[in-house]
Amino acid sequence: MNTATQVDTITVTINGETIEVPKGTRIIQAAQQLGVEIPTFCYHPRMLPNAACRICTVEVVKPMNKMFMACSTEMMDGMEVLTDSPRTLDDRRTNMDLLLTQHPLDCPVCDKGGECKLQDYSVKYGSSENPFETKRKDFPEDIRSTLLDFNSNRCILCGACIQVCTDIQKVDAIGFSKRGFITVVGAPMGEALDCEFCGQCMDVCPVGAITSRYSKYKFRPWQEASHQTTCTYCSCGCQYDLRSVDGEVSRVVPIEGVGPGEGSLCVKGHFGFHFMEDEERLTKPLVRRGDKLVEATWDEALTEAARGLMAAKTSGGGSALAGYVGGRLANEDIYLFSRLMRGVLESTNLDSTLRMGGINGVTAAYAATGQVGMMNSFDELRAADVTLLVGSDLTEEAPICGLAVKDTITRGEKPVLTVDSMRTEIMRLGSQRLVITPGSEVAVIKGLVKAVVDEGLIDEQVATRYPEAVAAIRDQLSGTYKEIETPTGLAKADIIEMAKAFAAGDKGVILAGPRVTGGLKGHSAFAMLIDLAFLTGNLSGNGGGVNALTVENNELGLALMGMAPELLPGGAPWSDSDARQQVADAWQCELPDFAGLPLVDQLEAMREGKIKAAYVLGTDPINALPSDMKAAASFGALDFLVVQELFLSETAKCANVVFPAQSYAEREGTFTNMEGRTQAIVKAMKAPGKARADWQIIMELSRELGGPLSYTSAEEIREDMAQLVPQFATLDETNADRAGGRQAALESYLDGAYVADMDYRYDLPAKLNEASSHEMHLYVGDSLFHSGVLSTHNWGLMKIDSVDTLVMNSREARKLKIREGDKVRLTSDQGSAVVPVKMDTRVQPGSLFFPKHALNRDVTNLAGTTISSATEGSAPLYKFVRVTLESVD
Amino acid sequence: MGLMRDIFMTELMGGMKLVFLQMFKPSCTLQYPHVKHNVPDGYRGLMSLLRYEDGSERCVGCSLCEAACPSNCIKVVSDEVPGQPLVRYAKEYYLDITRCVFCGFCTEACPVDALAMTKVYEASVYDRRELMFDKHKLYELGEAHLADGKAYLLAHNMDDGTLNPTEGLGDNRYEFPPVDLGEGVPVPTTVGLTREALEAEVAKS
Repeated sequence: MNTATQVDTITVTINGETIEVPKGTRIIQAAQQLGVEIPTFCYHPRMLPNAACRICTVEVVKPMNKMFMACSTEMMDGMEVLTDSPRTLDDRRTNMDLLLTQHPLDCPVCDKGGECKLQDYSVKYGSSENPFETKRKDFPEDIRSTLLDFNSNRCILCGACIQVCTDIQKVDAIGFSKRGFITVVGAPMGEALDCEFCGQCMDVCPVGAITSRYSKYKFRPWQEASHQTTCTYCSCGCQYDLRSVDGEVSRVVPIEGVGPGEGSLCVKGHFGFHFMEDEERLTKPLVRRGDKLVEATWDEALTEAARGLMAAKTSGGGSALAGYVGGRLANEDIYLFSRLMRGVLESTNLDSTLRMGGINGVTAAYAATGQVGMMNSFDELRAADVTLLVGSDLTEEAPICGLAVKDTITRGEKPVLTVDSMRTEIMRLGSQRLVITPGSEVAVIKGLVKAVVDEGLIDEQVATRYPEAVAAIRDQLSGTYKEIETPTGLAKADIIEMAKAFAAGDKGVILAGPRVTGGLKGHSAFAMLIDLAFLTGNLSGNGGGVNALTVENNELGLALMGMAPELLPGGAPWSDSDARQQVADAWQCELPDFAGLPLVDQLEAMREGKIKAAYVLGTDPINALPSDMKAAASFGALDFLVVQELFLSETAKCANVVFPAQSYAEREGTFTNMEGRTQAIVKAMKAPGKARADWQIIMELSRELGGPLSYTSAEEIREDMAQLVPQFATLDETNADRAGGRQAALESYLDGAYVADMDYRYDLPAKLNEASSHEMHLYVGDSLFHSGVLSTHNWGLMKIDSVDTLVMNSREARKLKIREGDKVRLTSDQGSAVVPVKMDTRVQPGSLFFPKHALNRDVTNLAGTTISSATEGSAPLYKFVRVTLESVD
Repeated sequence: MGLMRDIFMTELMGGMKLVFLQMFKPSCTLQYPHVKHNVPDGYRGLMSLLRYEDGSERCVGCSLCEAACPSNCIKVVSDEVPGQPLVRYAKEYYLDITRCVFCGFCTEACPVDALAMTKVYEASVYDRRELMFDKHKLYELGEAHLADGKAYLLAHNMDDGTLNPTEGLGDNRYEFPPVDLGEGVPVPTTVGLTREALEAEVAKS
């Protein structure tokens, strides 16, 4: 929200009512403030006025007597407007008649029927007889695209779809083609549409010209039940309206102006609603009898699980048990699981998918600023003067956060600086870019800090007020640029230029993606970024800040609930005995005083027989981790394994007891997005079979184990959580006082946090320069169309992107005589894999990209996993792989 | 005067006059169920779904009948015809006759003349579940009473000229044909039987 300090206001009159509005307000906006409805097809609050549909015509009486378009006319002081004068209505009627002259009368079979603006306005403003006559359009409907159907006969050529694609999504996938009566909207050159499929064009279409193939003819708006809920895919946490007909999801509709996305959705949120109804969903508890998992009753399964976990606890104490949890569970489940493991089973071997790198963003931020989560809200990202994006393909990993960054480009024409090993979409749109050797993010960050220090770009106030802190950082940067240039493949001048551009902006926002926190020295890299923000004056409450992007939708919930052996609820470290006592008091139990093992050590302890039983919730480590981490052998070596899942995952197949859980659409709860907004999910449909909500299962298991957990609703659990972690007290708010939070962050930073591990922080890892006989760099990461394995159970998303394809640079492929769809063999030190190829300029020559969600695990298994040191989060690093590529005939 | 009227019971005689006069008029009591009404074309009996001449379903599954229904007895599940993109049809169609108030709004809402009411008014059954009509049953009714359906739509001015091409369009709304008492139809053997006897009869056939 851009609030200028002094806004000139003007006084205007609409339909006799006087109102004061800021200068530059358009007639339609002022009318909305007064609650006066002006009809419009093409106007959209988040876009610039297009004035194409001409239906919003109003009569201006003063200062001139004339008809004006309400959507595009800025008001003048003393302006008087009539929105329903006879002259206005007459004009509108003519405009309606003109629009309806060519519009087909196929409302009964049109998916928009019942919520169509053209229908509504023709009843309200149209006439029963149309004086105009012409041949109706007769274009065949374009159904070539996988997802979106274009019916040009229904189109009123308002251009809203094209505008949303160009201005908000910045993809330019559709446009007008041909002229005059035969103008149509579609992909350029009459090709079939093949875009990001965000579906925003469909949402803004006032008529039924663009419709979804996945919901075709399946609903009527009045038949649908509406449920406002939170998206379960990426960490943006968009709010949407999950519509269902008779308990079956019919479609997802965005809610204008609500939630982090303000009404924008990406392809996953919009069209990935099929996994709940997948036939492979677990419907009954399964219990192992011999080699087989057989269906059992809840009583049997719970008793069996309690017996197995108790047996391990009696034989080896709490340390013989381990828990592993995924970032897709609701906060309530995570909280109860934490209490069950730590309070009831007295185990501290409790880890989560945060371990994959997210933990570094949490611990580094907490160490320096005493806070967890993003420093800026999405609104502040939109208002940033300069954005530095490091190691993240926002479009693919967090599309809606990406829209916020794109918004600074479109609306403010602000510089966006990107550092990445891939030529991402934001990089193409942004003002400056550094394309680096994969995996060398940490070196560039050091280079940027060095450039800020060396080139005298330090914020004046910071330099004068905190000379000690500045000197401490300066001491670490005495080396030459050589050590940065070699591993990154960049020139010194480029780094300095980017540092200058970042320091030049007033409000500078830094976004660090999973390739920073999940890379070599992820913890240090993020700490360096905090130093960078401090030096450029962006830590001192000017609206800038440093933000770690998370991947899974409730990863921040995991962090806030302390789901790692080194963390406590609230984000405090486990070693903090006061904080531990506080948790113990709240839970009225004794917390074990030994620190638990992180995932990697847990796996080893399982193989050695030290850990005898494990409880895995909502994640599939055997499938997700590369084979050289021996997850299958580790879980196989356990005496007892309990898995709680939606589907029979690879891990569940090894389990002794499998509990069927409910999906996000079948239960109540909350998710916390990367901004720190805690938002509710609601029950929209019936769960399949006997599946239960995760928190219910944990609670009942605790009861079997003689634990104290007893709740009747998710709401009740949240009240309990809020006492321990205040962020959970309010829903839907972006941690209101962000400026205050940043002030506290700065104080904490200056209070000794910046020097904590300074000597070690700026040492670049030796592995950066490691030579390899394999010349290609393969990155295994997130793809736009998928999120985790969950989305691969979605036939809708799988139809758009079947994920098992390697992406390589088009020019390089041409040089190697590889064509789209050809198969190639990848060879690494760990083995080889054969995959089909597709081309994209997103990947730079010498690099390859493979989606981590792929069903084909051969590529993931190519990785030779390195485990980062305990200070760097003990994260298994397997996403960057050196490979050799050869084509297979 | 009053006394004279009391003595000669003039009121009674006046009343009896009417009675005796009626004795000589032909009877207008219908011997239902031995004789049945010849109901007018606009009669709103059981609902039916109609097909086109080539046998394809008229209904496009637009759910407007469902929206128009005041007693919420219609349920339409629409979908795309498998293998035929962009062709909309009613995958399922349910009509709960037990709740139907026979108002005919659904037929008026139908944009494709797929719904028509037949002249069938004898809907009583022993099992209520039989009155939950599904799509199959409704099309069956439509086939069995096609002429009634066409006549209904013509009588209510809902025919677009395709159903009854020879009739032409006109204001037929309130033209009710006279009641034809006829010779009477043979009484079905099942009339008046107890339920057990009826079931035995059905089992026999």
